[in-house]
Amino acid sequence: MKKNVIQFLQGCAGIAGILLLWTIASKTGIFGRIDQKSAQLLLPMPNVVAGELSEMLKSGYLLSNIWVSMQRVLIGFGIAVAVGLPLGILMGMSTTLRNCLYPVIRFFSPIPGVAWVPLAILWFGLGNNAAIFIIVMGSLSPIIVNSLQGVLNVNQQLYDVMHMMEASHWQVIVHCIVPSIIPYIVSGFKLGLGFAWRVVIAAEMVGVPKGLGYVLSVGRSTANTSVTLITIISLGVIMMLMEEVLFRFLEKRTSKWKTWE
Amino acid sequence: MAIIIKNITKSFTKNDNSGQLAILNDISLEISNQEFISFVGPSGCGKSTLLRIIAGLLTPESGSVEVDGVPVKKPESDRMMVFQDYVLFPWQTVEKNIAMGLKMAGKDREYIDRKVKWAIEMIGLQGFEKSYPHQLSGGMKQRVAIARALVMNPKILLMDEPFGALDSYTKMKLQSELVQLCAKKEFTTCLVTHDSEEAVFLSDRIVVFTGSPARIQEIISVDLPRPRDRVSKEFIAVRDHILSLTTSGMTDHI
Repeated sequence: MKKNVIQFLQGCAGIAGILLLWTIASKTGIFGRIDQKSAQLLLPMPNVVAGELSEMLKSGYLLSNIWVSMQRVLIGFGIAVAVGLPLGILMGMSTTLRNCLYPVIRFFSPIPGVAWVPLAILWFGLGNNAAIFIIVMGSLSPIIVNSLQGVLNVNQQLYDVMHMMEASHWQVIVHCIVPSIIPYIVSGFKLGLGFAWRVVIAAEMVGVPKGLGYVLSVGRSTANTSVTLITIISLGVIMMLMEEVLFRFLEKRTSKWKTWE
Repeated sequence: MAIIIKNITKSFTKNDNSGQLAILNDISLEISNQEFISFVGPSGCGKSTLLRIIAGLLTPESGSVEVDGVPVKKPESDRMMVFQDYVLFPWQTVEKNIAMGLKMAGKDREYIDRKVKWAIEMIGLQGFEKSYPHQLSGGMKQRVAIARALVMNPKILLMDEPFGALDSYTKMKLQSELVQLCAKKEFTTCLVTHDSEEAVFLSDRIVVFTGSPARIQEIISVDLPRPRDRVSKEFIAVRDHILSLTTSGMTDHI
C-alpha cells in the first residue's frame, strides 16, 4: 500500500515537472525564441488551456468528437481483431497458409495506415466507413504478426502432452494455444490500438469529418493553440484509459502464472 | 501390456540439409507386461527417439511397435509420457493440470474430482491443489507430471530422463516413490536415463545402447530384491558394469 502511494506521488511529480516546464516555456516565449506577446497565443499558459478545456467540456464539443473517434477506433479495431487473431492463429498452425500469406503481410505491414486515406475517401466517401477501413488496414498486421509469433513460440512439448491425451484440434487451440499466446496477443493488441488511434486522427485531419483529428485541424486553421493542446492531452488520457480497461484484466490473469524464464 | 519393437530404423534430416543422420538402426526388443525397463546410453544416441516412437509421437521409417499385438500408429492415452522438464500447463493450477487429460477425454466432473483427489494424495501434494507450477519446486512439478500421467490409468508409462533436472536428494526420494508406485504392477514402464545408478535402482532390465546410430549393446537383467540398497556390493557391481559399458571408448573422443 505504502509503495503504491510513493509510486503515485512520483508519477504526480513527473506531471508537475512537465507543467512547470510548460509554464516556463510559455513565460519566456519558448526560451526566448519568440516575443512575449506571440507566446501567449502560440503557447498559452496551462491555466488558460485548462479554462478552455472546461469550456469545451461544458459545451459537449470535445466529448462528442471524442466519442465519434472512439466509435471508429472500436469498430475498426474490433474488425481487425476478429480477422487478425484467428488468421494469425491459423497461420501459426498451418505451414502452407503461413507460406502463402506471410509475404502479403510483410508487404502491407510497413505501409503506414495514413497512406490509405486518399483511396479510402475515394472508395467509401467522407465518412465513418473510410475511417474504419483505414483503421483496419493500420492495425491488422501487428495483430496478425503477434498472434502468429505467439503460436510459433508455443512449447512444442505441450503439443506432445495434448496429443497423448488424445485432444482434438479444437481442444488443442482452446486449452493450449490460446492461453499460451495471451502475452503475445496483449502486445499485438496494444500496438494495433496505438496504430488505430494514430491513423484515425490523421484521417480526420485530412478530410474525414468530425472526431478528435477534426477538432485538431479546426484548432490549427483558426490558430487556436489551446484546442490543439487539449486534443493532444485528450489523446494521451484516452490511450491510458483504454489500456487500463482493455489490457489490465488480461495482464492480471497472466501474471498469476507467467514467469520470465 | 507387452511391447514388441521390431526392426525400428529412424533417421533425421541434418540441420544443414546435407543429408540424413541415422538415429536408430534396426532395433528390436521385447518388453513384457508390467516390466520396468530402462534405456541407458550416451546422450544423443537415440534412446529418447525410441521412447517417442513407442509413444506414437514419431513414426519410424521402417519397423513397427506393437502393444499387445496392436501396432502403434498415433499417441493414445493408455501410453503416457513424463518429460525431463515437466511440461506442465503454466496457466493451470496443480489440480487442473492433473485433471487436463480426463477433461479432454470428456469424463464427468465427479469422476475427475475423485481421480484428482486420489492422485494428489498419492504424490503427497495436499495443500498445493491451487498452486501454479511456477510456485513449485522441480521435484513437486515432476510429481504433478507423474500424477497427470497416472490419472489416465495408462497401461504404459514412458519416462524421458524424468529426474535429470533434479538435485540428487530429491532425485533419490522420487526414485523411491516411483518404486512404490510400480510395485502395484498396474503398468509397464520404459525409462530413458543416463544415470546408471538410477537404472539399477529401478529396473527389471536395462538396455544399454551405443550410438550413433543406436544399436543395443547389451541387455542386463537386475535380479536384486526391492527396495534396492544403493551401497550393497551386488548393486554396485551391476552399476559399475553399466558404467564400464557406457564409458568405454569415451576417452577416444575426449
